[in-house]
Amino acid sequence: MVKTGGKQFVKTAAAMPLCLVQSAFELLSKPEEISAIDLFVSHLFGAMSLESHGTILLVMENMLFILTFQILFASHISRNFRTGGIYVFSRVQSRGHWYIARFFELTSYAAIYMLIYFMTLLWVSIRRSALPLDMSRIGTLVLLWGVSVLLTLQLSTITNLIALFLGTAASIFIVACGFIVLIVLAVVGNDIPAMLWLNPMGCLGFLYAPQTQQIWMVTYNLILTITLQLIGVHIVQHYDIALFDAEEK
Amino acid sequence: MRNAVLFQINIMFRKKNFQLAFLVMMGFSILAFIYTSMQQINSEQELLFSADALFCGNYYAPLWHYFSYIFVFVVALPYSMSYFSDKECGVLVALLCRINRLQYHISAMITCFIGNFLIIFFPFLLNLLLCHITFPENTNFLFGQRGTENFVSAVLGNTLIFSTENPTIPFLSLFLNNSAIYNVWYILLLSIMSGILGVFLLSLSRLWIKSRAILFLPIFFGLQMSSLATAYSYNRAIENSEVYFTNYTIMDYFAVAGYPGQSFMYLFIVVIGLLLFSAASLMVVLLRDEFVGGGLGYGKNRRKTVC
Repeated sequence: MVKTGGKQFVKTAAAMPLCLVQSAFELLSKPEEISAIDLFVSHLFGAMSLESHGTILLVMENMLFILTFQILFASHISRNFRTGGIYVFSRVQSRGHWYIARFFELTSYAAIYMLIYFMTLLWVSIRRSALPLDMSRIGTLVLLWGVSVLLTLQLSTITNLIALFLGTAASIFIVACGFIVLIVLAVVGNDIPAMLWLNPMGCLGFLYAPQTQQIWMVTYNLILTITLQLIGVHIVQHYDIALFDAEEK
Repeated sequence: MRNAVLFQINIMFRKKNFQLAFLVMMGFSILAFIYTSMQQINSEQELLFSADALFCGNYYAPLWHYFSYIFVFVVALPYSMSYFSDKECGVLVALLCRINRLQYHISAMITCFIGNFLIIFFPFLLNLLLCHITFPENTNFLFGQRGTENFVSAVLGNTLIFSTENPTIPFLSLFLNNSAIYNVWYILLLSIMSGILGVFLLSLSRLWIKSRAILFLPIFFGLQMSSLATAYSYNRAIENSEVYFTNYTIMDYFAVAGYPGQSFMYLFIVVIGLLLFSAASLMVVLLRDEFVGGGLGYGKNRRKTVC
């Protein structure tokens, strides 16, 4: 396995400067009479809110934090196939187990990356808000953090799997385009319930919805993540290391 | 030099990254046309917007905002990673045996420019053509019918709530004389900018980038920063009417009838900065020993290579 552990964890620290730079405008502004949690959510999702549907949507301006993770960990799985793949896979007992181990690594990186980003953003929001922090709404942030980790995992799994066949650059590009298409569909099709319930980006809007919809948001993202991992295990077990080097030469 | 450029263009056309970028841009252009057509499908003949107004490169076009996010990824794809690839797979040695280093680097920059130019120019031209085939060439623009009060206010920037150096839409006389040529002019500008950004990324990859993936970040980050600067300038201009608003969002400069407040001095500085950086990178790469350090793939940096 190539370059694991500490060096990879260091990459997750990129979340802090990224958040501070993105929030530069907030840091320069005067405090406002808005709840810190509301500021946090509006900063994370952008200004778009569809009050008639009680939903909020992740908008383009704020997708940088998710895409940065994709870029940093785009080849977390695929590079093992290119660099010393023969040595790695001739020693591991099961490629499925190896893939699951990489998935848990990726999960820990995503969780830490999101935690750093969320903590930094919460600090910025508290600094910007003139009101005291409402501790009863911390649960909303925990829910949002969980869903964001799942979403990041889904996207990075797809990026890593596509990278096996098309290379890192093409996979990042394809996933970014897919991500944008999902956001466009969520924005354009906000009147269609299926578009909100089945689109992971539309689903995020259930943050302020009744509990049933919140449970659906978490369960649906969990199912998607597990399904993608099963697909990943299948692909990795049947991938021919000797015949492919997908990286553009 | 001509042979070196033709040789590299030949390689670029065969690269799947170039093909993918071109395919996605063509897809975007056709999808944008279909989306616009569906929006107009139930409109009465006299209420239909002009073909030039429905062009996907228009600032008010429904998908322009989304394109500006695809653009930051597209510019890195066609040939900006060529130096990285050539070094990584060891083909650079073979290439430098046949052409000298100056020829290799300059031909790569020219090829990169051409590749980035093509992936924007033809898809956008196709969209404009489709709009002209399908929609009428009337005077009904997105911000009002030509000659009406709304149109004049929007074009001259009379209704702006902030002070700015350039309140009118850019190249106003060209817009008023022929809006079709105005659109083509903007396609040309956007394609040239795409080429310049591609060359900039190629130059960056020569200096320190050790991963293909990281190459996507600089432009994305730069555009985010420019948007933040615009928001800051906007707020200051709103709070104090004596302060001029300057639009720092680079993509607005390349959208037809883009948001007011554009400063051509700012754009000039950005473009010159990108070109100077590319020239400096070329000098550095020519002066250093290609096979010892300063990059990847050979010598002491071999082990640091991560894809």
